[in-house]
Amino acid sequence: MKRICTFMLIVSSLFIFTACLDAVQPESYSYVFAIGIDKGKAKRYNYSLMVQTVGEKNDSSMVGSSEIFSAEGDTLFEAVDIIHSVVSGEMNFMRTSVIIFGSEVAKSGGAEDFSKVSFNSLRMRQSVKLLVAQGEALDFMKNLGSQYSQNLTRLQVDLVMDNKMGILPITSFSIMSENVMGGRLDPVLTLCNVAHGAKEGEDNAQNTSGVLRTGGMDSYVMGSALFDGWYMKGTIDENDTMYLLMARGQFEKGYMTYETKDKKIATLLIEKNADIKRKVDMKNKNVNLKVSLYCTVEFDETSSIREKWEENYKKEVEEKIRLQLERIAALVMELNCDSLGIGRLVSTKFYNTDAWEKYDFQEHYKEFKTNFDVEVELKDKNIITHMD
Amino acid sequence: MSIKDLFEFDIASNEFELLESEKGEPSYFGTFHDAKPKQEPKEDEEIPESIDGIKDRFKKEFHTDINSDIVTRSFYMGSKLRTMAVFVKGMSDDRLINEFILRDAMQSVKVDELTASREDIVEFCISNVFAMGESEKEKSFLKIKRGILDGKCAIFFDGAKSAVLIDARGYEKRAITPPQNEKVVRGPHEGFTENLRTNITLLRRILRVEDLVFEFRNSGGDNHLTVAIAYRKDVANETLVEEVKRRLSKVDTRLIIADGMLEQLTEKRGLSPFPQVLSTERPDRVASALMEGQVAVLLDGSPYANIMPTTLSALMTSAEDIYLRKPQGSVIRTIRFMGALLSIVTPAIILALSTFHQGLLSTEMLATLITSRVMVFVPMGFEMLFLLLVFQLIREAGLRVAGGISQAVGIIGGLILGQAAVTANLVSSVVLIVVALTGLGNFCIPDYSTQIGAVYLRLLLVMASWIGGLLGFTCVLVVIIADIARMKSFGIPFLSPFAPKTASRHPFMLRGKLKMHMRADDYMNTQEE
Amino acid sequence: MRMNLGKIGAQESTSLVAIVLSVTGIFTVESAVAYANGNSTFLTVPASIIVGFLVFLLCLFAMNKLGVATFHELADRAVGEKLSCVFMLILSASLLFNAFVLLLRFATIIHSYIFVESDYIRVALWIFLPVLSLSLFGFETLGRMAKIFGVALLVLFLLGFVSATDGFSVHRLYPLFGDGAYNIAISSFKNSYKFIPAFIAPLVLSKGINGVKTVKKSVIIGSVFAVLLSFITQLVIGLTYEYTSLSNMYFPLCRLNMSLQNEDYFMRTDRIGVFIWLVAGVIAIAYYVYAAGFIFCKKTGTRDIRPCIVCFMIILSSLVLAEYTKLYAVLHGVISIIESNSFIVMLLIVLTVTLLGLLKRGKERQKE
Repeated sequence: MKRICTFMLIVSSLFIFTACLDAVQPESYSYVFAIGIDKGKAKRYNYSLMVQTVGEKNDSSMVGSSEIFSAEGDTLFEAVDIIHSVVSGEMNFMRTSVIIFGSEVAKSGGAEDFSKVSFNSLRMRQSVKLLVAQGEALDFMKNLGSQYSQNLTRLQVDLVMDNKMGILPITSFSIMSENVMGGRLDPVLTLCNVAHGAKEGEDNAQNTSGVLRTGGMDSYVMGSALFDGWYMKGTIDENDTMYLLMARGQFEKGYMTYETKDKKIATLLIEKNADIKRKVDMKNKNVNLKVSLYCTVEFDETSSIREKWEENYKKEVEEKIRLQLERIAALVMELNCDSLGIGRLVSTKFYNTDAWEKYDFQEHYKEFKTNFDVEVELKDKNIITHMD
Repeated sequence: MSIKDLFEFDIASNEFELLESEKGEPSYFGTFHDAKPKQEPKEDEEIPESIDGIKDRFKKEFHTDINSDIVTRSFYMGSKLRTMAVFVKGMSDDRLINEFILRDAMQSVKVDELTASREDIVEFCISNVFAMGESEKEKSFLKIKRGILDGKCAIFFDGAKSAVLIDARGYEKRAITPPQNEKVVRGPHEGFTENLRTNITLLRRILRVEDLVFEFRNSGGDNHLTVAIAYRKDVANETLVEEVKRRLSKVDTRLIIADGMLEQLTEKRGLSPFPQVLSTERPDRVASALMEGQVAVLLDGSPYANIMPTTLSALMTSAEDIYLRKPQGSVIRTIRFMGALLSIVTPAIILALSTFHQGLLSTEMLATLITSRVMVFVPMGFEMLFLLLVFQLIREAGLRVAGGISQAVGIIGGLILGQAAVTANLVSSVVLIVVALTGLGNFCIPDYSTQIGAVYLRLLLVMASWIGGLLGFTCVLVVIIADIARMKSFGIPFLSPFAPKTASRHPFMLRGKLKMHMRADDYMNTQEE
Repeated sequence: MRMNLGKIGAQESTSLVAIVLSVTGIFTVESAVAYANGNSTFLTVPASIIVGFLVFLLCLFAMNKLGVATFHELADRAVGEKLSCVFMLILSASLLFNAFVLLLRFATIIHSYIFVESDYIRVALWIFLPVLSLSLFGFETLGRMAKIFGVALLVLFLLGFVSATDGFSVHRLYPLFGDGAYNIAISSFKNSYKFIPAFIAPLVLSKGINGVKTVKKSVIIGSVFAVLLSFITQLVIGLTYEYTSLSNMYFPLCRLNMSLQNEDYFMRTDRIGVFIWLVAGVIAIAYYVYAAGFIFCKKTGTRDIRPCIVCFMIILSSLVLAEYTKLYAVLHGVISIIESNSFIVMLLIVLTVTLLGLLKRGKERQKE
């Protein structure tokens, strides 16, 4: 009896051993941090993969770097096949943090082509962040600073921090697919650019706003790319991005400068006071948005800034912001990008899926008019500059 | 063997060989020959009437012509009655025998005072002659033999069918010292010794209660050591006591030397990684258990006591927990549980994440892991098992090596081997640290048997992770926990009072209030309830 | 007689019921069907549990009136032994069906989301091991396992939701009640076929739960937990993804953190949640297999439950492994037939047993 039991135990153990699930040592993989997609010359796209390289064992910091490999192909799989031959180990996409579309690719709907890639088979996380490069994605990747080329997760973290501070929009692939499939909001991607360091005797027009700039990272984020579905329709700079985020309800902190009636240049720090209030009137096709902000100015000892604020400056500031918001709203509507999420508001008026799907919001989008109501409160805190 | 022997041919080897006594060839897979059941000893045997008969009996059974330490001392009581004292030199105290038995018997008794009946002589001697504390009349020759071997002195009278068995034990024993393996900072520093009487005394000093009972019986081994079953008669559940006695009575083996052997022969699940009795060398722990209604078994010759039933919470409790204040005790216990849990699961989880689920690791950790594994030529699973084995080798070597160089073993193992292994690309530094932490966590487990059991579980989980990643780990972990959950120690679920939830508020992991120890645990079902 | 029933207390049985109902509610939702026309699962799933609970109360009422200790005794008295045998075997089959669906779901989830490159069979083989072990160990072990893991699973589950709050947005639930009140109601009733056997099983095993009173207490508390947890889970899913995305996801809970903006050290460990759910799933599946085996043995007079459980596991394993074979279409065809008709069958059985039992009791009283 004992022998029979022992035999059965051995057989059932073998049964378990057949369920080996193919372990792979961690160093057998080459981890792809980022994917860049540009227009190809010979083939449809030029894929650039940023692959992690490990440091030396005896190096006390034990930190590596990364290398960029490029190949052209009609699909990502083609490019991977080519790059695979020069990269040691199997390529692993589980750590891909960002996908960067070149501007040409973004305009021509390359994001949609990319969405047909099976994320499951590549084991890429759908939370991978999407960026659009003004120019070429490969250029942007090549000029990333060392702190990012060692660990691109930090770039993702920094982008998220900027988003939380209301400086930049950020979109993951999962959100972009949801937006496009749902048809209630058009995605807004982070826009990035490369500005090479100033060099003597060279054309510096490509530097940051044409201003001489030395040191630091050449690649930087500069604004937003507006999409209509999978297609990029336009870009806006960081200043307009602030107003766009304000209109979307994602604004946290920012600054603005304006010229007062007294011909003085004033700079204000503005912060979110309360969440944006939205209301949609389906009958008249009006969308009313109320934006509440805080504003900080220097505390002036000689006079009460509060009285001046209420009498002179408050309405000016509010009007200024309102005009900017309406400008942005008109811009996005012109581009047929529902970047403000009006579709989301409209969908809340429906209690039946068939009715909502029949309504076809994309057809009715341009009929809506957005009205902004801005309220700015003064906050007694320290300092930007004098109002006076 | 000299060179000359090398060149001497055709001479049979004079090396000793233990030749096979059984007939026939063993079968292909071998067979297990269990010993034939022992025949029950005969009924109590009568004592031979004459002294010469008794002497012959001893010569035959005890081989007194060879055994020079079995002393058969004949003398005349009251100068007329032939008497013989039989004892084992070294087991009995010579001084006691000489002064209080032989001298009193030889000199102080007048034959006239002895009555005609030999049986009355025995009673008379017990009451009037032998000034010894424990003296009893015994008719069974078997019991007399056992008594002699225990260190007692038997006095036979010519013509009498009974003898006097006097407790004159006086063998050398170790002094009471602090426990070797259960040291505490706060609390008593007395540990059990190999002497049963001393151990019982230690318990009686702590538990001055009337219902504390010590039942003596044969351990069940052919070497006839005595075992004492200790319990509180008015508290311990009678069924539990009967079950302990029943299991002990079923023990029938060749040799029992230590409590560990007794434990294996009385437990139900021999293959379980966890023990079903708590082994301790601290009298205070045993006393605490006895007050709770548990039963303790003490074996003569073993400095450990077995407490049953036990639970996982008890195995993870150190004696010191109850002596500390509640917050300190709770913190220590939590750290201990965490240490134990981490030591069991950490190697497996690290292995699973590194070889199957690299996506779940942060970039920094993955980079560190990959960099540390540059040029390491063995798979990570093998590396993990190798280091776990090395750790166990160091531990075992540290225990077995002679005292003077145990420190050197620690240094060699800890520093040199670890560092050298990393430099030689045998192992990576990350895995080395994981295994080192695992080892530390393992030592948090107070009970030695449970520590070894944890090693067993750890290896199982590492194997499962190596084969199946987190899926293998989870599945095997569930099976292990289920097995522990269904385990019972003498009828009590092993995970009491947590699963099943019992009426007592005594927490499983934290140190409960001292007031919670006023009543026995609910799952003990004591007679007090 | 070896039924491995044992005895468990109130806490154990409550944890067991809560885990079984929650797992059944959360892990058996077919996305393609449930989210085809809007997202109302946060209503339909809890409503289905409530329907099952009402059925349980009806059975309990009948059992109390007749003074019987278990559901199969009620069935015996109500419809006679032969018909009761048929009904109980159908109940046993429905429990096995639940176990099968859960096994299939978990094997597919783990294979699709974690071990994409491995064979499906290898992944499934691992899951059979703890399920078989737990069911063989018996009801007492199941109860204790539920007690051990209950709170921890709940906390970890909810922590996973807390970490995903950044990605919530209320508008994703709209159109609210998109499917229409009528369809929602029908769906709630139809889908309660999964829960009715889960509610009746404790009534069959009531001798191991210290009687009907303890069963009632445990089931009430367990159901409350299950309703709340199912509601919260489906709501969280609905707040994270719109129905258009959900209908394309096999198991949305796995992708809960994908819409998250922030991916720091701990957010990447969201996949570990799958293994936490697996523990709950294994307990639930083992419970179903055990209960099915118990009913089968009671009705067929088998004196040892272990061979029965082993046979059931072999059948279930074969069916699960058939998922990736040519039998896939046949298998899923049968599953849809069972799913569409089970509610009626369950309801018929329960109503027949309870109402006939009450009628008989009434007649007996009149005779007295």
